[in-house]
Amino acid sequence: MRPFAFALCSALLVCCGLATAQAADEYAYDGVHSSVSFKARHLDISWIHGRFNQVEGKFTIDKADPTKSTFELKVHADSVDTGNKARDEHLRQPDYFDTKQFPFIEFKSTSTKVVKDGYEVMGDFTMHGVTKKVTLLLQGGKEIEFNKKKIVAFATEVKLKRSDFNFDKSQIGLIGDEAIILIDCEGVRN
Amino acid sequence: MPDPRLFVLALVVAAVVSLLIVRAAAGLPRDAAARVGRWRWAAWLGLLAGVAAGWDRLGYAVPWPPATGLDRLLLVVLPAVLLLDLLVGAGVFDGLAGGVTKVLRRGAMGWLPAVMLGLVSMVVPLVLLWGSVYLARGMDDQTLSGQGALLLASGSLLGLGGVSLQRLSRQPAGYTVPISLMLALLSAGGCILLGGYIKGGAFAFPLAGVLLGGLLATIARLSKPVCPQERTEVYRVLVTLGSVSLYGVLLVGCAFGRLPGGRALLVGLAPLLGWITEWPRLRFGAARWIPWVKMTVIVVPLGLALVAAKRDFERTLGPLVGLQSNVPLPGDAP
Repeated sequence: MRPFAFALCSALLVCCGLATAQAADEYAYDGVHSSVSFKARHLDISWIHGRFNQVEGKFTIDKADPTKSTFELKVHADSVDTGNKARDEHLRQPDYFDTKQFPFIEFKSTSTKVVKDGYEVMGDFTMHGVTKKVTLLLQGGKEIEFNKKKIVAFATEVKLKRSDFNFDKSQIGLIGDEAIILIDCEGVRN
Repeated sequence: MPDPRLFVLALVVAAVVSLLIVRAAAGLPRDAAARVGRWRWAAWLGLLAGVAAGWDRLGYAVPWPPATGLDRLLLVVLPAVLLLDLLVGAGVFDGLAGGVTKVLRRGAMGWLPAVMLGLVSMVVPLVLLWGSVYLARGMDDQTLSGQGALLLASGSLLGLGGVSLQRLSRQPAGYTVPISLMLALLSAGGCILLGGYIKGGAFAFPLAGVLLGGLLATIARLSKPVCPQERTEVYRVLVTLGSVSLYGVLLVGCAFGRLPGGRALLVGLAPLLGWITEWPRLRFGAARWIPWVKMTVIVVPLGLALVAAKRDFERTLGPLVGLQSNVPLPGDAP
């Protein structure tokens, strides 16, 4: 009886393990169909829009236990693009993003909660060498299959103050302190 | 757009604070033997207090922890140079220097001082570029040998340039060396500002201010003249601080801002043109002309660098702040 019981337990454990592995789907950030953009006030009367052209990321979605889902995003600050070459060069300098010293803007989730129409993700947001806790409300999460690949998408926007991230305060005025970051992200299952 | 009056004010505040502290500390009555050492302490104390006052006048907070190259120049490099200079003055390294001298007398390892100088000079760029893409492997196609070459070349400029300026400051009209470093700092600050790095350019102004304050301190004690050794000591400290500051501001402006390398070299090497009057073939007859000739040959490249920076500003950043550009961009239709 004992060998049988051992075999049964082993089989159950393996099955449980496989089930867990299958439940957590890993997705890679699809750079072609995603975007990380931002807008900030100019002279407090209009908005300047820009985007980051080089972004990496991955996320895992655990259907069995959504709170174990994780989200990571890594933005190459050097790839900032506002449609004006001179302004982009200016934004790369230390008065703004200081891309030679702080080449990446990163988000790493620390906890995930399921909410209506998506997830509420808390995590560490690092920009300009400063890390702050930020909560993102990821809307979406609908899965589809396209060309035999599983695809999922989320959208979120978050308001940040540049002064919270140690940006040069003397440069806040012409361009507003607050910036709105918009993330539209498609993930392709690995 | 920053207010240029703020930079001038920071320069003046830094100059006044350093002048007052250097004069007050060096003027305390003591025995003559301690005078030169006292001037060294007074000069460093006054200069760094002036830098701090100027930085404060610019409206910047103490950058702690020092995360950027400019922060490390202010909080790590300049205090470390002060400490090292004071330790050398106190004779802490005399034993080490004696050992090196013995080795040299035996005729072996004649390159040792040069290697030591090189190593010390490499530490400053290493600190300034710490944590940046320049020292991160796998980024910006940087290889280990490339990083080493960058540090070596950059550090050599600081080491050799600094030693050369110290020697020049002991020649006739030695006071022109701190003046030339001050002008070079102003030119560097202007070029970096016009390139769009406001904080980096602004920092050059209090640095130039303390050189001015230190120089004034050596001539302001008219009732009780400063002896030549004391004056030489202040010049030495001014040249040390000026060389490291100029190098630091240019490296930070070049590495993190938009200061072109060629322009940084032009500004950084301009004070060395003061050697022109020491060249036998160009030795000038009347001693009173030497300072004027020196300053003229130094000011010309510094002015050219500023003119080029202004032209670039008008072409690139000017339109962003509402200035009409009269300079065509490359590729623009005629």
